[in-house]
Amino acid sequence: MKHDSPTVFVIDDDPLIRNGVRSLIGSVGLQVLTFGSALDFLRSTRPDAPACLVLDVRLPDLSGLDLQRELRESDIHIPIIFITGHGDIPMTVEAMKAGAVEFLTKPFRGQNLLEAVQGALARDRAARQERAEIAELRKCFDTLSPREREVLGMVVTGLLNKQIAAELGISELTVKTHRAHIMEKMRAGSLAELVHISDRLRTVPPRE
Amino acid sequence: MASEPRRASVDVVGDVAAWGAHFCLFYETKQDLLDTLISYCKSGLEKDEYCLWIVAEPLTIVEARAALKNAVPDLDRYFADSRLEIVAARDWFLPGGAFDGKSLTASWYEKLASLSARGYPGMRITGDTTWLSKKEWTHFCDYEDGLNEVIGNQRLAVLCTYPLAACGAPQILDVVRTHQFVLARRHGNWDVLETATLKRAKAELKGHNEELERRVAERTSELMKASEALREAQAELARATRLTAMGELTASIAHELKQPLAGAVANSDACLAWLSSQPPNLEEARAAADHMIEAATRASHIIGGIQALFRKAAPERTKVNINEVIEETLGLIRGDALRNNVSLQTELGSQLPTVLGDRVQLQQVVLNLVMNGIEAIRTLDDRTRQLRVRSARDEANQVVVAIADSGPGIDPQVVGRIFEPFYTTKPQGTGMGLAISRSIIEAHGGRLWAEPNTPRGATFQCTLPASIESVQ
Repeated sequence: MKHDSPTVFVIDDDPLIRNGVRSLIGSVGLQVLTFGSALDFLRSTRPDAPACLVLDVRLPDLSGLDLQRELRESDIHIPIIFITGHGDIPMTVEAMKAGAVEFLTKPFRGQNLLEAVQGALARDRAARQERAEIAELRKCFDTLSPREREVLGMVVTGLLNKQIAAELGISELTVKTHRAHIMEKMRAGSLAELVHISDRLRTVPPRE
Repeated sequence: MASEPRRASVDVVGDVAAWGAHFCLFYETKQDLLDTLISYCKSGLEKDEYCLWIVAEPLTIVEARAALKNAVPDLDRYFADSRLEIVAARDWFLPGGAFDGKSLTASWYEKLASLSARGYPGMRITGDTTWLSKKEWTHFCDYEDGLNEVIGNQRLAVLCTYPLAACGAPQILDVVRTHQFVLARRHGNWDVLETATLKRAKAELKGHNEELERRVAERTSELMKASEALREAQAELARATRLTAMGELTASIAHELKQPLAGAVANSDACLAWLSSQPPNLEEARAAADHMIEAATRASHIIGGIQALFRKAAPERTKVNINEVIEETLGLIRGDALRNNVSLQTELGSQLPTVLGDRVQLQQVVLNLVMNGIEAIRTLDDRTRQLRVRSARDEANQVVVAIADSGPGIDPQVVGRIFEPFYTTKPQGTGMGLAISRSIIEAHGGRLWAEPNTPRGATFQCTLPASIESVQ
């Protein structure tokens, strides 16, 4: 997996906050990109690297909560740290329920923001890795023939070769050959590993 | 009303109960009858009232006249004036030889009408009933009962006399029923008996009065309570409105101040971080410090704006030529307009009335509106950057100042909010400019509003009342 430097996106319509947060995050050596509105952010091309979003709740045009919804619906996974001038409880609950990682009330201390940013980046890194691994497994799965996929489904439910052969009306030897191919293509060293891989694939819906 | 006849003397009758009284006398002797009726008539004549005496046995007209003459020396004069009439009961009550209650009642109405037309201060009538036969008794009682209606509210008193000896108990009961009160002379003493009806009527009247008073008092106290409750409700509403407005404003102020404070804190923390990095990054630290100053300055502007918004001090009032104010203000920002490639056009009306106001505050308003206009158009490059400042006099002799720009105009969805404190569409705006401008114009008795400009842009207009001297 390639190593990309993480990026922190900051969206706030107030240049004072943008500058402060940019400087603060820049001081710990992180790359920062700032935007004055949610729409500017959506229109930008973002690097494929671990990232997190520092997002003001109150924004012109599209609010922070609207952007959060928009990103979720577009299947864009990026941890969000909300900053707000008046964090009332219902708003906080809504944001956290929708997956915000942190909710900071203005004025906030730099240390708190930096900790939240580091936490969010770590989380994104892990999520990205997980997504990459699943994608890799999916690629392997895609190389299986239809018959091999059929056999895989039966193997992981615990059926014996004999039972699979009878079920599919093929010889036990043919089943063994399919199994060997499956193990090789899925890069599984043992039956237990194959079952685990199959489980991980099942948790994520196949991509188009 | 019945208190006067209670005086146990013949004068009772003289003074007469009250107008509208239909009462009766039960007498034992001829002398009692005479005493009573003479007193009754004499008293009336002395008061210039009209008297009609209907005489029956045991008296004769001659006796009645002689007895009255004794009491009233110039009696003839009263006869001559037709102020006094003494007639025989048979002539009066039985004109056709038989008793006819209906035609008698009708003739009473007639008589009373002609007497009333003569304008007496009062009328006294007395009649005896010894002529009455038993077979006519029931009819007579009905007639007597009906007489109460005839008497009604007229300035009229009717005294009916009955010989006690001739009346049996049923007759007495009938008489008592048909009269309002009864005088009786017995054993040399006078009795005044109120009838049950009168008593009941008086009691009812008293009751009604009390009830009325009670209800008036009740209603009054209800009204007092209601008005007190209303007053309290109004006070409560006013307090709630104040609190709501204050709460909203406080929330706005808090939010507005948190913004630069957050900027200041973030930049301070960044500044510290850059200073303590190895090696220290002084350039970044300095930039962060600059931003801290900017943040603090903005916070102080916000507070200044709030103070200006709530400043209680009455503005200075001098006669101000609004065109001078506009020219002075435009002079301040012509350079700014030039730098931003804004074409400033003025269309100042001639012979405008002066306005009474605070010159500096009015300059502040014009400056604010012009600056807003420049800001709205300075980023445009696809169309002419035009700002037009106009002054004129309207039909109501008010001074109108309009500042029209060719900018993007105001979103109709927010046009109602742009004058609210802290509402801003500009990233660096405090949202105080228009709020303060409006409060200044309103303090001058004028109005400030925004409307769309054609073909594009916005026009901010204010009206200011002309000073009184310039109206005359």
